[in-house]
Amino acid sequence: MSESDFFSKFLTLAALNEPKLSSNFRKPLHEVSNLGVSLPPLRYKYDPTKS
Amino acid sequence: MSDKLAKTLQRFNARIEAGDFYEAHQTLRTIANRYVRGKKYDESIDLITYAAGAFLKSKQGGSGTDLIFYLLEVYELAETPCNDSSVSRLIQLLVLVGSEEPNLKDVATGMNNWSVKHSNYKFGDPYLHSAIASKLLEGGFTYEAERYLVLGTHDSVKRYVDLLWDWYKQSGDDSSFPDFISRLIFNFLFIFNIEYALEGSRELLQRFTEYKPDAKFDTLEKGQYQVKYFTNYESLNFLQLLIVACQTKETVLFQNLKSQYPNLANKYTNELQFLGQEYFGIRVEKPVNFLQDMMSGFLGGK
Repeated sequence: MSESDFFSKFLTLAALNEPKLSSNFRKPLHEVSNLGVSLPPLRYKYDPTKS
Repeated sequence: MSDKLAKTLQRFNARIEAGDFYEAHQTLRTIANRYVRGKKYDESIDLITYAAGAFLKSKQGGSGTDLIFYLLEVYELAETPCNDSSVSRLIQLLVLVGSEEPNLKDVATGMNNWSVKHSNYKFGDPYLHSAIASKLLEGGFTYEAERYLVLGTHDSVKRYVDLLWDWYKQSGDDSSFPDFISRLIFNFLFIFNIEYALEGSRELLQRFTEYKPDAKFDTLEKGQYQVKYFTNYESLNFLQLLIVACQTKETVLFQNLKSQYPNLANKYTNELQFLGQEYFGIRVEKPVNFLQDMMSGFLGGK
């Protein structure tokens, strides 16, 4: 299946039902107890004085 | 404010104006100690806050931050709750700390640890995070700042977007955009913040398509979902569909997504494993240690 076919079919399937978590869903921060995995650092340095 | 306290502050101000910082610091500490011993916590908190601010404004970072730590000690003794006024007092001081201050990170950590201990937030107060993040960014502690931005307020999302966008432009590598946007998407998905994952990623994609007119895309809208299909950026397609999959919590969509994009599934193994567990209940099986199993079988243990 081409990527664009996949993309559009995926969306169609996803949209069959209402999302379990709506687009404005946010778990309240005081219920957050796990931050997930830490992401690897990027290869690029950030210089705050340049922005 | 009592007359006595007003008089103390007058003397303190005179010393600061005269540039007599050492004297001012000593006097202040002595008087604040006296209040603390007398359990007059409110007065001592006012006094220390005022003095710390005065030192920081006079570029006396050492004395200023010393008093911030002292203030946190008094907060502890007084069992000050983490609320708007106690947090905003810390934020006011934090804003005054110079970004070059050698113990900036310790100050930020000290403040946050206090808020962890005295609030319902396991990782600390979001408003405090927002202020800490800005300060750490100025000080060049980018990754630490990122962590606080993710756990901040709505304002922090905008700043996170700006940070990633500036950083991307500084990278000098036009093709690196997915590395930046993926951070925001993963970090917000990890803490079940769909709203900010969508808001932040849409803003970044918007900037990206304006910045790179050759990034061709179609906007697709189905049900509640609105996504951009890019002809040349499969990682951007993958990441957007990942948010959709998490919203549906449908395991089959998640698995299909991974099979369609094996290279990305591989690149993001750890991240997807975590999301698989949290959103789709996919348990991670521990690798089998054959020898250990056999040994415990022989020895009757388990």
